[in-house]
Amino acid sequence: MPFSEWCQWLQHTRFATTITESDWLFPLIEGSHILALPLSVGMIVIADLRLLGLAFCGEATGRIVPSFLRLSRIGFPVMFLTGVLLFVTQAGKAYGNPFFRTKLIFLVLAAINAAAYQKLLYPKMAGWDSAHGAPPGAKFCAAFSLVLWIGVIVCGRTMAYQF
Amino acid sequence: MHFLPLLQSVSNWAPIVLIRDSKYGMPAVQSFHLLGLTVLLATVVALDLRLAGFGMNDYGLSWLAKQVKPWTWGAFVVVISSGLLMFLATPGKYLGIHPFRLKMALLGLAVLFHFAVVRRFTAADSEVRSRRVDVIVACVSLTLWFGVGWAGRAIAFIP
Amino acid sequence: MTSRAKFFLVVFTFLLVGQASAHHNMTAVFDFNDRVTVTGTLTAIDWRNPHTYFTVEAKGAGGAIETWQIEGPSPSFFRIRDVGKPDFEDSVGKTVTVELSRARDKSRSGLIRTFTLSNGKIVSACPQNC
Repeated sequence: MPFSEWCQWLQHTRFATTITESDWLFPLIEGSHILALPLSVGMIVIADLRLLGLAFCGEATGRIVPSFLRLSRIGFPVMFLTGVLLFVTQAGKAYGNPFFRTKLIFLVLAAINAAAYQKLLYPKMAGWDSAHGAPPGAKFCAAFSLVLWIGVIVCGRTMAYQF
Repeated sequence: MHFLPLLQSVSNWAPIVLIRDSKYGMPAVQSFHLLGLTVLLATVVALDLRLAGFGMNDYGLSWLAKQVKPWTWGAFVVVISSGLLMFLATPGKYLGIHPFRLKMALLGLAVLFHFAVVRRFTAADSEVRSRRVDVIVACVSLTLWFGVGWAGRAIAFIP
Repeated sequence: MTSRAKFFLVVFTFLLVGQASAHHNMTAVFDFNDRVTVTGTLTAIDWRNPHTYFTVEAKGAGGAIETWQIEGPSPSFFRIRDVGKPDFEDSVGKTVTVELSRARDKSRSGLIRTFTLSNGKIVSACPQNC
């Protein structure tokens, strides 16, 4: 079955329809998706700002960045679960939506960027002193991360206007 | 309400009309609102967690408060200005929506509570205060701010 | 500096991201001053979040049947107004009257202002849609 057809099927399952037609369940899921943003993306943004030397200066990067990344673990499971549930309710429509597709691409890029950071730069963070801050590679990762996450939020909001 | 006609005339002001009726206008303003609340609430959570002693415990309370302050302020400005633009686009509509009124009331309380209580509590590190009071203050702060967020979401669903 | 950095980052990303045409902004798509009343047969309901959709077939000026695609508020909105999906389902195949804000492109579509069910009950979509 081609993927687009499977999306249509998924959207019309009883599970999906129950959420789609609900009085309070859909608003709860959608509201949680938005209000878990500060607990996920918000914490990543602060960590990125530290790497760029714009925030929390004077405290070792090797301490602050892991602290905020740890906090972001509260929100991401919620974002993922609610995101999947929201997709299920409109799989067919979302599949063809250019903003949704862009959002997914940005999410994948953000994950790759984060993985690269974890593997290559995270172990070296303790050596970056407050005077000189993070090396250019880390700053690039941080700036790229910011652009991607802002893009995810903008696409997420705008996709509703493309149905 | 005597200022309603004034608000209506503002909603006919060219820049507001452009935002409201153009294809990109409202999604753009809403996106700013979302980005603002993402950073605003992140700083509120970080500070309140530290106040309650449930997170960020590696850092001094007053130091953390000082560090988040410019970002809380900046994000707040973004949220308020984008919110104001959305409101001015169709003021009569929002005034008649119950969740909007609740949201504004909670926003007022959140800001008041922040200045009256949270700021005082996070101003110094060594305070002879019971942990329980700190936890209650943090909980009230989080409830108010996230209450603003949920009331905002309810605007789309409840008259 | 800090707020300014954030502002420029956001604007930059907007320029990067916001290229395709947005389609559904309420006031961009519907003209709240262009009010039309459509009376006809309710033929279809899409009872979904965040917006409900209804299809009404009405007799046009020349006598031909016109199909109107109408958008409404969410199920929870209707619930607060004491109306549910069964109430609309009871009106399927029967005559309904919809006062709507017409789409700016003058197509046969609009946003519900009031919906009069076949049993005479009037549901208002204000203030959200007015």
